[in-house]
Amino acid sequence: MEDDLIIAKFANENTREEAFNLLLKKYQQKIYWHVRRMVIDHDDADDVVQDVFVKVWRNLEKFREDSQLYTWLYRIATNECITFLNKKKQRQHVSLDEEDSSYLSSTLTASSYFNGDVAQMKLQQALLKLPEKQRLVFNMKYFEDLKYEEISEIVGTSVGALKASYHLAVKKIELFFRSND
Amino acid sequence: MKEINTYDDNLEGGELPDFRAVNPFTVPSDYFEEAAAHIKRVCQLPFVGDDVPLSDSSISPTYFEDLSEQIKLRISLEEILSERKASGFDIPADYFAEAEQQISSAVKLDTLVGTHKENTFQVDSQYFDSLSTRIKERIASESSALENNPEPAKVISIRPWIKYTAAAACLLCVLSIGAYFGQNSDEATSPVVQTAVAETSLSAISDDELVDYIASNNDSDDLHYYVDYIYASDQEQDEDEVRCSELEDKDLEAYIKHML
Repeated sequence: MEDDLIIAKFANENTREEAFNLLLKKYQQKIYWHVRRMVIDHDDADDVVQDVFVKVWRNLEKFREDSQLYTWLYRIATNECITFLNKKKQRQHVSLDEEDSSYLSSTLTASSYFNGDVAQMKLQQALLKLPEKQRLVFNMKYFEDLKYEEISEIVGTSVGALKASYHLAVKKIELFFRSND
Repeated sequence: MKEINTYDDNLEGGELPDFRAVNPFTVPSDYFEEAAAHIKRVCQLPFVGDDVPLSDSSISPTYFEDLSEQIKLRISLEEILSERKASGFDIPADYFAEAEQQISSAVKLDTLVGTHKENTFQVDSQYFDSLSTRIKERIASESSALENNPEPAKVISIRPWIKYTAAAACLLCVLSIGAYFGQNSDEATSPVVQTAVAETSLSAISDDELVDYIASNNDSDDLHYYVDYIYASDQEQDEDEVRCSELEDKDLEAYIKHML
């Protein structure tokens, strides 16, 4: 179903729940994987995804169609991820100024829900060395195949800066692979 | 023996026999009647004075009237087409530099982790079936909790404001009351006593907090005087008070009213 139809149905109280079901069906997996790649742990991702959709339920009525629905959803999910990771840093006594996500390394290696090969595990470890926003951009571009224009709308950064960030991320990943051969 | 050759038998006076003068080739019937019209059609040129009428079906009656217009149109079209050949499609600025980066990144990643980008994280097979239900249950429970216990009024912490307001009040008291009453002192309201009281109140607030408050809440040019006063030694402060005593009372009153 088209997003504008979902929004129109949500605006009507009689069809609101139906619209929300359609929205969940259409986007829950995409949002889950987006969150999971950021928070790494499945249970954490589950909590964050629930928070995301509770916020969506509360705020979809106020959604102004000056952006795409899915970029709006991604924006909420991204903000929730960052909030969650900041809280996690505080719990683990990691400085909020700490740029990379090395504090998630143990979560990654301990995760039983990971079936990648050695190269893929190494890629994830390399990604945890990136600053959070750069990791976010890399995930959206590489794994989720979003266009730079869409990512720009989600994270509020110019397309040019995103391209440079992605290219820099790949260089760092390459360096990580070389130094960990 | 002489060969009998009848070839030139009748070649009298160098003339060929009559039968040889007959053209052995033929043309389609009416060929020559149509040839002229055909040639004219090919050449697209009119034959003045020709017996072929201009109303021939291959030439429009207004052909010559339209011809110059057609030629102009053709020239315009050629110009447009030649421009398109040069830059028919547009590309974003710096496209090729960026494309080189992107291709280089893609190649590097393919080399490092392979071409497959399959999801390496997993979930239970039934996870997504139950996720929607759990989200809806949570929304329902939060909604009912909200109905039963309406959200309490939002409490805004005012501790920083209390701290800064107290700092401001104390500071202004020190500066203004000290200066104002210093000139009207009698034994009962000694400025020394008042300054001591004010200093006791201020002792709980650090100098840095005072300076921060003034910097964030005061845009007057007096800021550096306040700061100098706060960090000045006792002797310097005494000298300042002496200088203050030289000010007119009404000027001080006006200043204090303006500031408060």
